[in-house]
Amino acid sequence: MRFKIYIIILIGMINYSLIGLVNYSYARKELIYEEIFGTYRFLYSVPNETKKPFAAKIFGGIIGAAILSHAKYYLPTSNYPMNIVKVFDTSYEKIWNSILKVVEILKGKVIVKDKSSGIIVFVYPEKIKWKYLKEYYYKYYSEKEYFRKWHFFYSYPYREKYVIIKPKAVFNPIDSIKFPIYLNLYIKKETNKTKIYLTYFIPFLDVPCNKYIDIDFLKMLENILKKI
Amino acid sequence: MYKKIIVGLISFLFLCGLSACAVKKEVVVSKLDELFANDFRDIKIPEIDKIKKVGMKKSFPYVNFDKVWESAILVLMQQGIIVKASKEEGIITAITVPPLTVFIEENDNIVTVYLYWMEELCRRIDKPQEILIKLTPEIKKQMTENFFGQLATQVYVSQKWKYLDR
Repeated sequence: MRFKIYIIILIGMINYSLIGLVNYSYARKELIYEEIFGTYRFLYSVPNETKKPFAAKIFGGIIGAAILSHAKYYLPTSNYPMNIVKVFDTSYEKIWNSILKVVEILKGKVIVKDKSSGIIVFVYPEKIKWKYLKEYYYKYYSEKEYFRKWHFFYSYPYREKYVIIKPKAVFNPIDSIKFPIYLNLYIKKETNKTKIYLTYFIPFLDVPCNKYIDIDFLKMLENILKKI
Repeated sequence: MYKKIIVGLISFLFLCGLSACAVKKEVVVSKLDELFANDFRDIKIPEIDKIKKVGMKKSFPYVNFDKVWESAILVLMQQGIIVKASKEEGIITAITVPPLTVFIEENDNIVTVYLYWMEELCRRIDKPQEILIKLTPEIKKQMTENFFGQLATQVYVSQKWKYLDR
């Protein structure tokens, strides 16, 4: 009889855990969104890990806590993370208006707009597929290091202090996450030409995924220019 | 034997559940976080007198204001997000690590650039005495020199390396 009770309790616990895991995966997605678009989405939001209970340290809150507790947002420190120059045989006015149209289509929020100095800065949400981020890590980190980053989830108490959000992005089971992308644009008038300098930032992720983002922007701009 | 295994399993799952529930995140919010949240609408640029008094400066001879202005834009847009730019006032504010404001002025054919590190934006909101990014004077000096070095390269690039298109 007592054995049956144990079995029932065990099944109950497994059920509870499974439900928890399913809920957790949804909750985690929400948390990521909250981090990105919510109150503590950006720089220097460093959760204080010393205040976590010992049990949480051992079991790591089952991966999630490990990931989230190490979220630290920062801007890329590289001096030249991105530098795109594109020359158009179009007038300054046309380029300026087209860029504003692209901003509108992207549902971006303009931060700086100064036509006399040719500067537009805006932010818009963009999806980045995590497989690209994975490619990035394969490219920029050695296999050993990649393995170490992977491995530390399974040896949580012994992990090194990672102060970056990278593991979260790399091991994120969600197919894609929307990141806010800040685009700095400097438009320069030249004789019969207009030059566009473009840089962008994903403030909490130092991923130079230019080929997935800015080219789309330029493509959109080119399409609009063709229509005008 | 089975009982012990089952009891062990149950307690393990129980502990897992407890530990997952017990994790609390403490979030440190700085002024910069707030600014990010409202798309930098409330950013306060330091007064020009303060920038000139506290900031570090470098002069650029043989060039005009426009050239230095453009160069500053090109350098800063590669280091962070430009959140304020006014050619009339000669001010550029960029969210780098830490954020900075640059003031450019031209006097007697010499253009001078003042650099002011806005460390105050990295203060915690709940504990204003605590700065999240502390810069020692040595680091600040080094960072300032780096910036002026990059700016000088950008300013004089067309004269030094004429074959470069940029």
